[in-house]
Formats: sequence, structure tokens, C-alpha cells
Amino acid sequence: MLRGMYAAASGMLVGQKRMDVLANNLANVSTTGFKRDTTVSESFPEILLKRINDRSPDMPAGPQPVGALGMGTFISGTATRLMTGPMQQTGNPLDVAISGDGFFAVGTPQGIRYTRQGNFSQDANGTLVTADGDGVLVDGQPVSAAHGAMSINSKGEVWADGQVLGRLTVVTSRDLGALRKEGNGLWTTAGPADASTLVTPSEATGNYDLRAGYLEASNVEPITEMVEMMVIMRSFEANQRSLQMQDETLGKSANDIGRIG
Amino acid sequence: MIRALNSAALGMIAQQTNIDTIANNMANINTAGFKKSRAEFQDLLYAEVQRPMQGLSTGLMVGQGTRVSGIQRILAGGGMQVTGNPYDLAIQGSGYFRVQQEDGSVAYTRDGSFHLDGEGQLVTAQGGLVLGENGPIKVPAEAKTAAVNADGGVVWSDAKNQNTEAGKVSLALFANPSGLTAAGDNLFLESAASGQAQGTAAGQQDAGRLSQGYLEASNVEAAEEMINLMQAQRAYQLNSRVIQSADEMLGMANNLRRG
Repeated sequence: MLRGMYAAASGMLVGQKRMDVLANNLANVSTTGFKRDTTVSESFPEILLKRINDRSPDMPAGPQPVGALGMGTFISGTATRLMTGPMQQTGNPLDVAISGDGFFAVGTPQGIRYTRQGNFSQDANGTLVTADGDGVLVDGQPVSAAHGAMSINSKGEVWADGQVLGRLTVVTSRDLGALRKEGNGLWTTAGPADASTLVTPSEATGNYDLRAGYLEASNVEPITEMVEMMVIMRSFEANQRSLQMQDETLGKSANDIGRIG
Repeated sequence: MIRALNSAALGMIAQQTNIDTIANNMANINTAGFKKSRAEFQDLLYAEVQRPMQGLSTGLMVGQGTRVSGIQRILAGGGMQVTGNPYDLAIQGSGYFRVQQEDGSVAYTRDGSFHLDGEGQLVTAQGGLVLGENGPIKVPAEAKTAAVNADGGVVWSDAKNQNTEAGKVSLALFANPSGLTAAGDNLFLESAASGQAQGTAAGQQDAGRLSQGYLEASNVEAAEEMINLMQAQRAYQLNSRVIQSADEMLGMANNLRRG
């Protein structure tokens, strides 16, 4: 009986965490280059129940297996869905979107980070920067054009004053799970082992495609998220009911059994 | 769960800013030289609610919602409108007119709807002096006609058709014109983000040539703004739904113990 209460409670806890992740997805439905997170829930290891008492005389000696009993559920982690979001045309000379695998490299005060947000601009020194003012890496380093406006073409070439300043550095990872979100639209590698999986995608493999004058919208789909929200709500409710039922049953056994009159 | 409430609330706040930006764009659909803005969003830091378990690569990373990372001014040119007014000027490039304000400081504008004041000086619609290469430009009273050349020269002719140049409208260029501070009245001020103004003649560098008798229309496009408005409103609604659901779930948890 009490085991069932813990299982139902674990279901409610999972519901809460899934809701937290879903709320973040929906809050970022307008965030350029955002990738939705999903939660991975697993069941606790099942245990094998064994019968020790109530033995009939014809049973063999020793405990007899009854069957497996689930102990509830837990969230083992989040997984980010890296599907390319819808392409929005803006016509801005410094907007660029990646379709497929790949991240723009950005030089931040904390080191090199990666981003899918291609809404670049120029700062007061004419340097190509992200929305947060971090230098966008072009051929491995930030570029500036003090005179004249820059533009980016769909080969990733940065132009100013009729000259090519270089090409946007785009990287991807052989193991995309090695990249994790850091917030502010930036991604980072957790450790040196993960950093070693980074590669520069070659054009030959064609696993990505740049679109100049476009932004990649968030890949959060409102319908998917709303359905998910309904599922979370109802399973949370079901777990709550099951908990209450068990509480009532326990109440009956505590208070009503043995009552006289 | 409280996190879900916060994330959704931040989502609603960000969408409000988005709608405010769209509303300002729409309100200025007929403002000469107006440049539309767009709100840009970013996700917030992620909390590691649960460390990665043995054999699993990711832990439970929960985001905290969204924020407006900036409001970017979109500098695409607006359409050119014919007005036939001799002192209406449009810039066909990325330069800005320089305007002297009352306190003597210089502001910048794309709105070229100029006229002459009582003293014959070239002024903006609000009366700010339009600066040429050598200060304000004055067209004397004896001028019969005046023309502004593509390179900014203001030339007037007297009764004997003798041409005299009164001055040359000069333009300013910025490393990051999106970073200019909007001061209202179609004026912009130099800021740390925009970089220092570089004075230049019209037609030089990227400043652009001038067209007399034209005004630069606003670059706001009604259809685009309407779509953005619909998206912003729906996103706002979605976030309010999340708040409702999270609240209901909290209510259920609260009601676990009955009686």
C-alpha cells in the first residue's frame, strides 16, 4: 500500500519537472535559434516480489517469486531537439541562418562559445557582434570594418567596402550531445573531451546550408507543446487521484475496521 | 513548478515588449525617415536541477524563461515619395543629416522635410538648423529659385539667373547606425554604441546622394507588422495557458490531503 503511494508521488514529481521544461520551451517560442528541450523519464528498476509466508504444503522450499513490482518513475535528464527551426526572411544584410547541423563560433569573455542566433550587427568599432555584443568569429577571429556597412552572403562571406573580410566560422560536433546550452543563446562544450569532438563541417558533406537575410526561428511548435501540456496535466491528475484513493483506503483500514456499531 | 510559473511570466513580459515595439512601428507607418525596430529574444541561464547520472550524458537542465536581449533598429531604406517641394531631401545611402539643436549640440536625422525659416536658414520641421560643411545654410531673400544638388550643394539664383552656392549639406556616417539613441522628433543622438559620427559630403563613401523633391518614407510594412502582431499575441496566450496549467497542478498538489 505505502509502496503505491510513493510510486504515485514520484509520478507527480516527474509531472512538475516536465512542466518546468515545457514552460521554458513556450517562453522561448519567439527566441531566434532556440532549440526545444524534452525530458526523458524512466521507471525505477522493478523489484521481484517473493512470497515468504502463506505457503501451501506442496510448494518447494525457499521463497517463491510472485512477480515484478514497479516502483514509480523519475527523470533521467533533458535532451535537446536540434531540428532546424522555420526560416524567417528579414532581408537584413547581417542576418544569417544555418539550416542543418552547425553553430556560429562566438568569442565571449569566458572563451569560445557557439550559437544558432544569426541576428548579428556591428558595434561602435564596426566589429561584427551578436545581440549581446560578443564578437562573431570570422576565420577564427572577430572582424571589424570601421568604414562602411558589412553584409554577409549565403556562402558565409563577410563583405565590407566591396572586399571579402573572411568567412564565418561554423562548427559542428561529431557528438551533438557534447554541446550543451549555457543560456543567452550560447552553447558550450562541457569539457576537453567534448571539445575534441568539434569539427568544421565541410561543404563537400553538405550537412549545412547558410541562408543570408534569414533568421532561424525557434523550433518550438505550439501544438506539440500544448498536447504535451495536456498529457502532463492529466497524468499529474491521475497520479493525484491514485494517491488520494490509497489515502482513503488507508484511512478506512485505520479508522473503520473493527468499529463496532 | 514555481519555475514554470516564472518562466511563463517572463515569456509574457517579453511578448509585451514585443507588442510595444510593433505598436510603435505601426504608429510610425507614415513618419518620414522612420526606421522600424524589432525585439530580439534570448533564453536565460539553465539550472542544473539534477546532475548527470552514471552512464547518461545530460543531467536535468531546466531553463528559466526568456528575456528581450535588445531592440534592433532595422535600417533598410524606405520607399521614395515624390513631394515636389524644393527643400524636401531624401538620402539614397546610409548617411544622416546633421541638425543643430537649441542647446548647440548636434543631432542626426533621416527625415529631410526641410524648409526655410524667417531668416532664410534651412531648418527641419521642428526648426533645428540643418548643418552644412561650414555651419548653417542661409538662402538670402533675393533668391528666386533654389536647388539642392545630388552632392548636397544648395544653389540659388537671383533675378538675373546668376547662380550662387549658399552652402553644402553635409552628412554623417556611423560605424553602427543601429546603435544611435532615438531622441524623438525623428532625431537621433550619437551614443557609445553607435560610435563617433564621421562627417562626409553627400555622395562620398556610403553616405549616399541626395534627391531633391523626394522624402524617404517609413520602412514599416503593414502586412509584416500584422503577422508579427498575431504571432506575439498567440505567444502571449500560450504563456498564459502555461501559468493556468501550472497553477491548476499546484492546486491539485495542495488538495492532496483532504479533510
